[in-house]
Amino acid sequence: MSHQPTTVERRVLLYGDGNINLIDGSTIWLVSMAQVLARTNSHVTLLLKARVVSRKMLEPLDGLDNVTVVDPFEGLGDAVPPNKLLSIEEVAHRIVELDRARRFDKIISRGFGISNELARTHEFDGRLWPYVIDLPEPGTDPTPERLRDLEEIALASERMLVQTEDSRSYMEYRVPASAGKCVVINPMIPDDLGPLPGRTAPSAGRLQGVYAGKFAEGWKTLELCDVPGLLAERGVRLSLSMIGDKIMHSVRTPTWRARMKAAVTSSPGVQWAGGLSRDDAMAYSKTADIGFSWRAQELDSTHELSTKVLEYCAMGVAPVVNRIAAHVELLGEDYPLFVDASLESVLDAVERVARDPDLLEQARKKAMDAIDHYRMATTVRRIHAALRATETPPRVTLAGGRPVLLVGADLSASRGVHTVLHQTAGDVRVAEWDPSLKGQEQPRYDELSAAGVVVVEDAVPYLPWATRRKAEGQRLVAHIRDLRADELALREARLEEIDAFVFQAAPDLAAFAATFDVPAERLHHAPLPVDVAYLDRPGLPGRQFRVGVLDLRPSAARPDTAVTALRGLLAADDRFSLHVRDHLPWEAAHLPDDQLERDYYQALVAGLAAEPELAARIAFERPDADLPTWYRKIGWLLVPRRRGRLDPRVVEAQAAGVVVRTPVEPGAAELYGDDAPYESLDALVRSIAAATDSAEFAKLSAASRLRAAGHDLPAAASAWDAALTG
Amino acid sequence: MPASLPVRAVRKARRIVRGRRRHREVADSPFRAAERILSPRYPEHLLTEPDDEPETDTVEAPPADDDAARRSPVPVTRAAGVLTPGTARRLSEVLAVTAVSPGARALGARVEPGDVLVVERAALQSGPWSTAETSSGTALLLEILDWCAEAREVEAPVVLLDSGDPPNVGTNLLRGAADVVLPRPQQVDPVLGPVPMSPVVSLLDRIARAAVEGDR
Repeated sequence: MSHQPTTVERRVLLYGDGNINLIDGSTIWLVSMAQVLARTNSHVTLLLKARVVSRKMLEPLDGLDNVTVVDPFEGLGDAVPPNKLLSIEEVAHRIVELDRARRFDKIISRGFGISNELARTHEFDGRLWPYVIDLPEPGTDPTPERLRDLEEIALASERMLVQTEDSRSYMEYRVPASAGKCVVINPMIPDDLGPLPGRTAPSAGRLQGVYAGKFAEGWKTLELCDVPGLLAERGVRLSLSMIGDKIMHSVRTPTWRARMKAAVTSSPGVQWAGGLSRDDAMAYSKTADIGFSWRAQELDSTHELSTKVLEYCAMGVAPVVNRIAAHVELLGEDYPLFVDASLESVLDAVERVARDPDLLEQARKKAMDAIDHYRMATTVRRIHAALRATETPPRVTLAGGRPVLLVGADLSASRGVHTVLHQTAGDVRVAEWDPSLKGQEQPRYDELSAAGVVVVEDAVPYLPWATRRKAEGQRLVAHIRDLRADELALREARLEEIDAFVFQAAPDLAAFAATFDVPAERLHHAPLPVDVAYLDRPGLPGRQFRVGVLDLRPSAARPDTAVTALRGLLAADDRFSLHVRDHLPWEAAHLPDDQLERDYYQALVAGLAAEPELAARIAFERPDADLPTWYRKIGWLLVPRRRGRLDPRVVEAQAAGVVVRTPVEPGAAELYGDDAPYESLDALVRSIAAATDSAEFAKLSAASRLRAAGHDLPAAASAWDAALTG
Repeated sequence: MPASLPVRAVRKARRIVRGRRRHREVADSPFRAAERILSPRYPEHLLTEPDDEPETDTVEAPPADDDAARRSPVPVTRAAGVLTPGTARRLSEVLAVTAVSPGARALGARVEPGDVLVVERAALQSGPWSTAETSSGTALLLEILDWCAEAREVEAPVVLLDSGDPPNVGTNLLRGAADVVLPRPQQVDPVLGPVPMSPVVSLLDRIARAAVEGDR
């Protein structure tokens, strides 16, 4: 297929740590990814790890003018043996060289090793899009060095690719710095892959089966060879084609390889087709009724979906697969060809569909209906959108061409503001200073002076200091997130030196205008910016029964009232549970000094100890970085009184479809929506207990998402444009 | 409540700092400097002791009759674990029960000698432990594995009650951490008949069998 983009939107370097001469998952992914990127109007430079001996895998790229395949040993002639592979260090070196010549906009690398090496060079910061599939599994304890390397990869990355929503959840937990950056690409199958035209249904009691792939112990290929013979004893005739020539060794069972070889060549009902090209393997597979992807139980633990299973589905070949959660989600609870690790379960399932052609037809239909989401065209749309989202040109040009400096004492919740500033002006530096400024005045002053525009996040503690050190021609912007907290510092600052005030809350702007004598044209309102698209993820089943709380401190929240509400909810329905996501004060290194607060915790714990059945419905969960994932299971968020201050986490929860409830107070409805305030705990319990029906809850959840849309990044753009340029 | 930081935690922290310093010999680009400030950091509990550093914390020598002690039967006096309310109620008819929820360890709950730790897969599908078997609940899964490790330390058996729910990413880890997975096929002696189980195990087996067969 030839595709000639009218204009090249970007230059992409693509590398996957696999040998292009072999047919395996990594090379199939690499070629698919090159095809996908070519369709996003990118020019793709595909660097290989090995010299091309067989062009078979590269054939789909023939005719794509915007894909350049780079031989890793270009110009070295026969001096390099054909089986030589580049080392990780050599690959990184080659990419640096290629980048110097071609200056890539994005670097996409598959695998931890090469991604780590590229991050170490510091050459590709902000352009790296790694696809790290080899994360440490939950049962293993990665070393600090490994975690640090993963963190550095994430910090160097503009975006990180992950295969599925599950992979994203795990990545955000394992590598907190990846939160906000993960793009789900999904396994890909060709758009034109479909069933064999004009195929006829098999007669009852006869089936054609196929297995394609490597022969390995965990893949149950040895046991599979027994299936036709055992089915024959049940009066079912299964003709099984085995495609592939890669017979693996087994460390656990040294005789396994020899037995496999014997079984595939001599088992009754088994035909060994040997190794075939990808196209031939597909053509061969299409003639089958069922395709085997049966696995040992130890392979049930996966965040990912097998491309092979999806290909079977697309070809109308009903896959025989282990009944694991990912497959149930794909094919539905009542799919008839689910099996477990036992041979008996495979025999039973195959016999069932062999004797009932209608059931087989149902299975094929379910399989074909399941895969639209995984077509390459869908991935093209998703990746193209993700690429373009990072490529918005700056909307304004700053005088003097000097960068914007975003400065504050705590910028942990300022990613949204940083993104908006970047989209507005391009070059944005970030500085988080020690609040005391002790002994650091000169370096901080130098940092300040180098900026064309200084945005001070919160007036406390730097704004008064910055107003007395404003450089000639510099523009100073105060970002006020909470007027009450900042009011004293604003009184200390030289307000005439501040060129623009940006308020997060409209009521704060009005209150400031009423109190301070500042020209109205210098006052702006920019809503709290949130990357709504990133947080918009499918909710998990049963979320309407889970109530969340983000704070435990009595000064910030009232967890005791949440416990009281839970008591009421459990009286209505015993499926409710409460999830408190905060550090436990009694786990902290230092207990709070406030004796009242200590008493409060003791009373809370004693109360729970006295009601073990209630306590068993309360989860105290650690505040890890994977909040967006946590929101998927939470239906309701109880938010304490904020007295007008907007908590970014609450808006993020709304973007994820969580329904917010807060005690009634002035401004509460403006912050969280008209339905959010409640007048009593009884009313709160009634409103939650009345929405246990999934459809009813879905309506509330959709309204919540709609509410959060008002905080999407573009909503704040025009106010910041004006603030930065005047 | 922690009294002081253990030696291994201090050593771990030092090593992390050293590692960061080494890594940052190359100056940060403006992009990475900004990301370092804006990105969430590793929480302490996700950082682990390196493999290649020998453990020097004092370890008490096991008593000489350790093997003998392990062989001698200890009567089960309490079932602690991750349980659905229904199972907790049924078990409480035959022995004391403590159903733990996430974070319960911080509230003082412990597995003690004489306990049996029961992890019920059905309890991971909804309620406080929901998502613990999935990619969305890794922290909860690790917490359950911590409970299993603690049970092993006090030689309390760990029993996993299976269910008809499809296996998820954490299921195999839970199976691996258990001493026994129930239900299991009834063992029958050809002459003497079915091999009897203790009343507690028998009840647990019935509960697990119902969960596996009922949900299918």
